[in-house]
Amino acid sequence: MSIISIRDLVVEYDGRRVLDGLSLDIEHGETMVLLGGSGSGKSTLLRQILGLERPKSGSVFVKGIDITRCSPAELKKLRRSIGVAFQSAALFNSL
Amino acid sequence: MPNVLEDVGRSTINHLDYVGSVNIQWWSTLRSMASALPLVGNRYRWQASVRQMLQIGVDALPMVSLMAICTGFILAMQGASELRRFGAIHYVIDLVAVGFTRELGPLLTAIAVSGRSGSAFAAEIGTMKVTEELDSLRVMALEPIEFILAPKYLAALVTVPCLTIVSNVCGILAGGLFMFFSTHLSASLYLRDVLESIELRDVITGLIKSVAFATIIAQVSCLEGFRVRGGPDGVGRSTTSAVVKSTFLVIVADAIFTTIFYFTVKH
Repeated sequence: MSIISIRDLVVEYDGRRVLDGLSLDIEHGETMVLLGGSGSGKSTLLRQILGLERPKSGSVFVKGIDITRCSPAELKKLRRSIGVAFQSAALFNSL
Repeated sequence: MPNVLEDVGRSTINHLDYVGSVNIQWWSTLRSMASALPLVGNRYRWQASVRQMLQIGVDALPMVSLMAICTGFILAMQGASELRRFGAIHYVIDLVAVGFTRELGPLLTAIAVSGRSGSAFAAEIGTMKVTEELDSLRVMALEPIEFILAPKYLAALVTVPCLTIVSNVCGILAGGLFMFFSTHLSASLYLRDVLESIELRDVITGLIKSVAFATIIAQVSCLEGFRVRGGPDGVGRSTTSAVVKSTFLVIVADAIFTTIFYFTVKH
């Protein structure tokens, strides 16, 4: 089973389609690199995988759980097993 | 005509959305407040609360005291210039004592805290938003409301009433200073008259107002920070908006509370 599985993901910001029917599978232990120009939707895809935003349509399965439909408590539990290094928040400057 | 109706409708929906967001955030904060309490809560949240209390309360003491002293002196002078014509300069004591405990103490403190700490809340949270620190916290399963807002709100709830009491004392003492210089009224007589003119209900209604003002300032300022969009310019806009909205809402809330107390508390 794929550790991350994305099906027909559509994301729009103010009517502008950023991701259009994206499907992707990442297997356990696999390393994947996303390459693309500025504004091509790389960060948007990562935010969807982390459940920070809701898509217009489609599904994002992480460890078999659809992150777009799970409850806040399930999301919190799932996030405990995810590690992310953000672009500008490698250190908590304000804390 | 349809454009006007559309604008009114859109504006109404936006305002209702804002009020709803503040209330939802307030409820979420109340639910997570236990974590910021000493002994029963998380040690690190309590330490953050204490740090916030120092910033909101102790650091604001000189400013709040000075504002209260100046206002107390001005109120006494303006009152005396009119009351002297009727031979009623003695009532300046009542004017200053009752005016400060019921009204000016809580209001001046709230305006000072709104300008000092409300802007700081919005700028801090807004910067965290644009640098993705809030997202980082969420991904680490730490709720920003519990992690950031609860300590700030607890600190505001504790310090704003304390600052209000300090403001009341400073304003009343400034009135006493004026009475001493203008009528050579002794300090002991002034204090006796002050204690005779104010009642416990005046102090309590003032403190109830200060708790409500603390809630408005903390919730509105933090919401402005959470709603930041874009980059540093967005942080600047949210900071301005936090001060303007919280000060405006504090004055509106003051009018509502004063009306309620006027018609419900027996004088």
